[in-house]
Amino acid sequence: MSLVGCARQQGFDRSHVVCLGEAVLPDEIGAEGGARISDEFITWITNYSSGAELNHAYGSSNLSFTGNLPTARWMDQLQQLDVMAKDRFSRSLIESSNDERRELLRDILAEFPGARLEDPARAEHVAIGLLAFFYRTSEATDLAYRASIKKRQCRPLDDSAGQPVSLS
Amino acid sequence: MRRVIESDVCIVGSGITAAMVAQKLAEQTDATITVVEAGDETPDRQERQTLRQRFLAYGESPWPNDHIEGMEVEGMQSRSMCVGGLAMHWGGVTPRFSPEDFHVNSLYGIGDDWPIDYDELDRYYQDAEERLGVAGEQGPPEYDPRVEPYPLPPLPLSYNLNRLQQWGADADIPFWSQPSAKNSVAYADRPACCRNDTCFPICPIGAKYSPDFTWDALRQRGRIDLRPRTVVRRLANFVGEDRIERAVALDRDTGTEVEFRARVFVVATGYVWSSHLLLMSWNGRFPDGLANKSGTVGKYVSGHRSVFAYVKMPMQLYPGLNTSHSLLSKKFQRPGQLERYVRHDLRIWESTVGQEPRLRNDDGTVMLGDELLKDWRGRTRGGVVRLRGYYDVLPARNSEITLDTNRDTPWGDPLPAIAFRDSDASRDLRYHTEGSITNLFRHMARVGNGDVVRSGASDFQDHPAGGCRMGTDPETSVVDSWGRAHDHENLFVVGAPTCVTGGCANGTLTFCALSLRSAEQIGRDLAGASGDAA
Repeated sequence: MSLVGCARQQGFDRSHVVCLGEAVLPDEIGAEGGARISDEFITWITNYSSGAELNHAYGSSNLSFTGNLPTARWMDQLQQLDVMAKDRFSRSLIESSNDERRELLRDILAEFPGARLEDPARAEHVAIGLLAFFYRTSEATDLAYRASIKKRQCRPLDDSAGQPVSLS
Repeated sequence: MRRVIESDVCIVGSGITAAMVAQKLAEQTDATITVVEAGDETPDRQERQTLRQRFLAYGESPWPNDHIEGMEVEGMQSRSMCVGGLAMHWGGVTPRFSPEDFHVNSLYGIGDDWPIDYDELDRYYQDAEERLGVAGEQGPPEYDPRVEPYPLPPLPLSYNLNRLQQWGADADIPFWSQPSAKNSVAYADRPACCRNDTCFPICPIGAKYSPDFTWDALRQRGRIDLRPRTVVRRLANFVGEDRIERAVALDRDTGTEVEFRARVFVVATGYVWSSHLLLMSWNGRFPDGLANKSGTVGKYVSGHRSVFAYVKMPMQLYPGLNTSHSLLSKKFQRPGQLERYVRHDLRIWESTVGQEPRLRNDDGTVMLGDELLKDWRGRTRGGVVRLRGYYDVLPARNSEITLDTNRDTPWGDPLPAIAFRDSDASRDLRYHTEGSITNLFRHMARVGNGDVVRSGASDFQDHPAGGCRMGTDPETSVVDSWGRAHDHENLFVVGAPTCVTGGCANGTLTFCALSLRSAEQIGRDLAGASGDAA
């Protein structure tokens, strides 16, 4: 299924998710990078399975399971952003500038407590979900450290001894 | 209708110690071997990349059928009942115990000695290391004695661990590469590790040993009859005799009874279910359960607690190079004379604690775009390390597994109940021990001009063992040093349950070594020769 198809299946307007990505993700990854991450986020949502057993820790009999993804709420939040953009800037979310989108998002996210970017599936707001999704990737880690760490990717053992190649 | 299945050896359980016993017996004898496992088969190797991806993306368990509903135990017990057992998702960390672990009473006047010593166990450790494919580096011999080298070269230290090793040296603590059952080079038809870094819970390529490799090989050669989804509910002795005649089981698919008859029975069901099975096997001749004339089945369960710290260091580290790998020091496992007992291992990992990306800055302002990335970059300067020491907890007699009078299995048998209790001596030492280790962490931080940003101690007892402890005295122990039940000449208990104490290092390799030693004696029994029972 195409990404647009995935987005439609989930009820998302892909262009809104891409706009969101442009606003919350770092400019360093560029417009193409932002669109790619947004698409990967939609794919991640599409492939999410509620009621799946979560990994269980040592030493406990307790089991836990994935909950329902707040997809409907996230869609509402995207539409709300579009409405707010039209109200405040007389432009749709798509037509708004990144600074305008960020202004809206800062106001909205101020109402959501907490600083941690945890499991995206538990994000109270779709923007936080997208940020959490991105910032746990190997790509984000390499960007932060400006080094080619490639965490959790298949890499030769012997290459670990040297300082990671600088990306700056 | 009841089915009867006969073999020379019946092994109950299919975890890592069962795999060791079966493999060794298959090599050294012509015995027919039946392995009975309550749980399901585990996913094929080909599925593991996909299972890992689901774990990374969504946190899903890569082993969703590794337990049986209704077998939840009150207390400290992992859910893992499947072909391969808990070692299907172990971390693959394989240190040996230290010589002192076997003689804490003789050396320090606390706890109990084992009936065997480190020198006796050395060759079985070596055997286990070769079967598991342990990659390791011998530390200074005074701290890390061994006769033969490791079978595989050590996992290389990452850039991070190399720097931290120097920090350890500055603090006068020698550290070396943690021995691990992960291929540093291709070995046993399995590839070398490539730092996928999800050793726990799943290695997607088979570089980490798991028991399914042994079971697959034995099944392909037709050397075992492995029966999953078959719950052994009790063992039974011959009428009027002490010898064990049969294992009575339930086929979970058909609900019918299956009876396994064998010359030798091996209970390899881990620290909880081994005691549970023996207690459940009571009858008129053995009213307190099998192997329990001493009344010590289920007693003296033990493990090790941990003390931990996270230290912010003024050195640039790059978390993610090989997060699962660590440095090890055994210096404090071999402390020599002590004014007051404290022994522990010591490990160092790279960490990201306190350095994660965040949505808000210190003022509570929401950050987006480059601002968020810049904030994260600022906080990734320097490095954070995780320190941890396992210290041994010496068990009280009533640190125990009992039959739960309130909760039953799906088949109406009482479930086990677990209660860990420190011996008086161990309880008195706890504050001193945890304080000593915390002070060591502070000292290390000072040496490196770092700061302890978080520290604490865990009440959790890791690598639990005991319940069928070994000993020379049938009045105070369940099995001899070979794992043979004092009360039943053809009944063996192997691995974790037989440990006298939990030591202060990950226990799996020791459980395997003990099991291989048991297998040697079982082989002698099968050949009709009598071994030298310790």
